[in-house]
Amino acid sequence: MTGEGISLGDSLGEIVIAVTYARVIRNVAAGRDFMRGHHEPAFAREQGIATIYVNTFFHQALIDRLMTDWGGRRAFIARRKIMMRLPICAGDTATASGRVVGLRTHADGHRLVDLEMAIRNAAGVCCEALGTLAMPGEP
Amino acid sequence: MESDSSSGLSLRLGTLEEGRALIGVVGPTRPAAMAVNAPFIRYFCGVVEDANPGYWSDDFANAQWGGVISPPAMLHSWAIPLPWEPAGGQPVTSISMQAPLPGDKPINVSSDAEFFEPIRVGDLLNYTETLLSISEEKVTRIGAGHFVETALEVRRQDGALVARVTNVLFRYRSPA
Repeated sequence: MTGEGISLGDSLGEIVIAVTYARVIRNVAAGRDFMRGHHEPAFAREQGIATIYVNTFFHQALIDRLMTDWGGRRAFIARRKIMMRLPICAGDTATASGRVVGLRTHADGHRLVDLEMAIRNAAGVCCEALGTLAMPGEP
Repeated sequence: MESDSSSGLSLRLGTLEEGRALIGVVGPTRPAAMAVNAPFIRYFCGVVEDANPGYWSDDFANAQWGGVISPPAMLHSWAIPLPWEPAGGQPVTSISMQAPLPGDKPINVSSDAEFFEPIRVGDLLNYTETLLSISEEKVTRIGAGHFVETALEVRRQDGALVARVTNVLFRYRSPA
């Protein structure tokens, strides 16, 4: 994909991930974020959250995957903003989706695609995200 | 000054005034705990099942990016100190945890990252943080606390700026 043939409103498709306890713990181990709410259910409950929940890295990683699964292996993530709304807990199913909201050209000539995305669970929107992909190709 | 590690992270406790005294202060530059490396990258990508060949294929990544690249979401992970070192490594945490504040619990609210260069295997990143602002006390559904805004610059060993992040973290106390 080079940025040609992309239109405003295009869907990025959907990623569905079962957030099992094992996956929450793999995320802790892989990113090395040992804040207790991500691995101790009792601490999460003290925080007012039902059980252990995934950290910022997980939200970012899922949004990053959504962007490059759609934009292709040569697309470069130039910007990604996430805004956390609800925790994603062990036992949830997380669904990431989004759409194209802007098409621009960088000063160096590269096509830039602006994206609006979200991750949802059964309770609603857990994370709202904005992103910009720099598309490949000669400027 | 009192500190609190009950969350699993080291938070410095104090008053809003003590915290705000650090606004504008540029923290020390901290080197990553380890060089960017492929085994950690691939373990991390497995969590969300990201098959991007920039992370998995040496041939593709060398041709496209000049090496296997770090997922952008690992930017902060490389900076996390090892949990144990023989000489007793110092736990170093973000300036948003080191700012003295009443809140003993942290929860991240938002993160806005710009990336300027691919981050490649072998890169040794350096992290420099600045405390931008601390809100008045706000009461939320999880407790009362302060929103702490920080700016982070991440540079490669050759000094090239690879990423810039603005982060907001909520430092709070649960209702008693």
